[in-house]
Amino acid sequence: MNRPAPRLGRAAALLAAVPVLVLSACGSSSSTGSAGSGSSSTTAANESAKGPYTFLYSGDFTGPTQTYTQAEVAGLKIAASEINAKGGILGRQINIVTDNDQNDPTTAVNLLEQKISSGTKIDAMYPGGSSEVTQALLPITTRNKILTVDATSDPALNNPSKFPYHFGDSESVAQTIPPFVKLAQSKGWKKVAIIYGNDTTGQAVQSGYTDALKKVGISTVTAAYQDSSLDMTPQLSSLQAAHPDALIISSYGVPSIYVIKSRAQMGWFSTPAYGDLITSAMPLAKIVPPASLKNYFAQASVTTLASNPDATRDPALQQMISDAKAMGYSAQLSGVGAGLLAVGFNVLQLIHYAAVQANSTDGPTVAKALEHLKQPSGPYPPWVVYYGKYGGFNYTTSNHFPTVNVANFAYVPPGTNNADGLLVPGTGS
Amino acid sequence: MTTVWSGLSIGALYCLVAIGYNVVLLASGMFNFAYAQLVMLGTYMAYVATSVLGLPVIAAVAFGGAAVAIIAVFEERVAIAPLTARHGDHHQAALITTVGVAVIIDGVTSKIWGSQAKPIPDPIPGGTLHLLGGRVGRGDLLLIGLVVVVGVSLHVWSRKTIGGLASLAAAEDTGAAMARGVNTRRLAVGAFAVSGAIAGLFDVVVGARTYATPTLADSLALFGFVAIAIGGSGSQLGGLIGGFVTGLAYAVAERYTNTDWPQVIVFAMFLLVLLTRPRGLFGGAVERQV
Repeated sequence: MNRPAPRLGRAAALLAAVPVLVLSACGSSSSTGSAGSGSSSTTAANESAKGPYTFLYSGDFTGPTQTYTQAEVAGLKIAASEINAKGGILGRQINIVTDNDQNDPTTAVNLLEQKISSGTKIDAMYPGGSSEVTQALLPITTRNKILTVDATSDPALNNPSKFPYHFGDSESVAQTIPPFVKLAQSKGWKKVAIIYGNDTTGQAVQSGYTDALKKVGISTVTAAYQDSSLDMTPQLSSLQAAHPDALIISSYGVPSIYVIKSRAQMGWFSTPAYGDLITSAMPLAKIVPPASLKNYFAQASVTTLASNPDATRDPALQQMISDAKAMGYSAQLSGVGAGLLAVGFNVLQLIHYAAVQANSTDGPTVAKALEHLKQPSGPYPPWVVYYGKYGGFNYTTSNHFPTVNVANFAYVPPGTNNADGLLVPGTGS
Repeated sequence: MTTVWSGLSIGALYCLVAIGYNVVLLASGMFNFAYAQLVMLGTYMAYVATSVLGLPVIAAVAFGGAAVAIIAVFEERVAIAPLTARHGDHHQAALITTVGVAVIIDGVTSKIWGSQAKPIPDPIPGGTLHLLGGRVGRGDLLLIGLVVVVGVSLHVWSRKTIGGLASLAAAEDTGAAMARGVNTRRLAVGAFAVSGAIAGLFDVVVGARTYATPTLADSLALFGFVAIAIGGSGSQLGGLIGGFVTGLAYAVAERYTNTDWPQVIVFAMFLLVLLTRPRGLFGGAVERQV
């Protein structure tokens, strides 16, 4: 995925600000999983001798997607705090290190190469907030046998034979498309317009929707914009001229605001607009005038909705929210929502859970454990969003992406996140 | 026509940046690479004034003008003056220090206001109107009109007044200007103050169009530079035309070609102008002794 990729992943995550399970069965290193318990004390001592567990996050801290980066890192820090308070990963305290790759693959590669060549031991890594960056980094991390987990959503990254140590913690682009196809069929639409960012993720989204809609006899007309664009009126005018039945908006970060603003300035409200998960990551209702969002619907995960009882029942989610507030991340919660924090949160919870089962922090060993993850026995795992009826981290040797139930998605009027980071549709500025 | 209005309004933003570049260039011969950041800072001043302090639009404009002017003068005092005092005017290191200022402003802005876009109230409520066959925002019309007025005024000032001619002389040959009694240091400081004030006075108009976002400067800087390269560095009229041409060409290309072509077209224009008229469409010819 390109930069947007993260979106999806994140988006997915976003969506999901969901319930989780807590560690009724696992959670802390001592209570997680049962694998490898035989020589656990010896192993723990050996692991502790390795020093802190270094987790590297490479992402865009100063560009258009910095909002999401900050939320993901907040999620990582929350998880690290929880895990460290319980003794760390097999006795190793997690130390989070960050690189500002500005979503530029070349910069990301240079920064990682510098760290590796300087002797920095990296135990695990979040390899970029976009699919393009992830694609650039994975050959290096694979060569150095570094475990990587991130939310970028390009299906090409789900390639265990090529990238055996890489895992996705958010759904792929393809998993977010069927709900719209179903909606389009039910409405009897014949032509759908798509506006998207001209990057790897945007292109994957565009081709994904185009192919899926074509299979059911619906044609598409598309237009892309550059990251630096401040006005999408030309692209939207081009799409409007084709008289589509609906408009799909796939936009990541600040450009999504410009798409909505341009649509409003054109007065193009007669055609319903649908923001995909990536677009829904931006709290539009909090930023643009309510009138701009007329006849606009945002794709959301029901797990992120404040009205979903699971959101208030899930102990892991509630703990994450509570920790976020205590650690000063309230602005992220109400801004981008708990779902985006969950992207980072889930990464470390997953690694911790798998490391305990593997009784090792060695990257390839933990990767093997992830492929054969023994699922928690209780109703809620130590991670959030991907559990039960909503999906799960059911990795296999041929699939390193999570599973997501299609019924998990809904199109809702744009809204704002409440203080807990859960979406309340229909509310805005 | 809606696309044309879109191109003109975005082009007006490029014009504004080109104007700021040229004000400093004309008075001191230096290029302030941080000017797009000053325009961005202006939008945050508008946010502070309107949303935090609750000031009316007029007061927010004055607040922005004063605040950004002060910051611009501070930039000159900290990043330019020490270099010129040590190495003389037109020192190349000044280019680097203004880039440094730009990076600092980007970082500080993100640190203070975060990465989330901040809305700025529209200075002319009422939404859009139909004009000449297209839809255009009332605020966009104001932006376009104000930029034209400021650009033309500065052009006339630089060509018809003693102060303007003095600044031209200082930019062309600092030593000769000083020998004729021109206070070049005061001119340089004044240029930064004026350019900063312009960026600040446009705070509400620009912010209502773009929102206050920490990435705004990146979007404006490159095309602002293209605008003065096309129009002619040192020519306010050229910068004005270069900005509108850039915005229009980009918008029309976005409307009628696929995604990859707009930048290609604009930069092809840019190269064509540089190759055929190195000083830009409105840049003056340079006399050379042979």
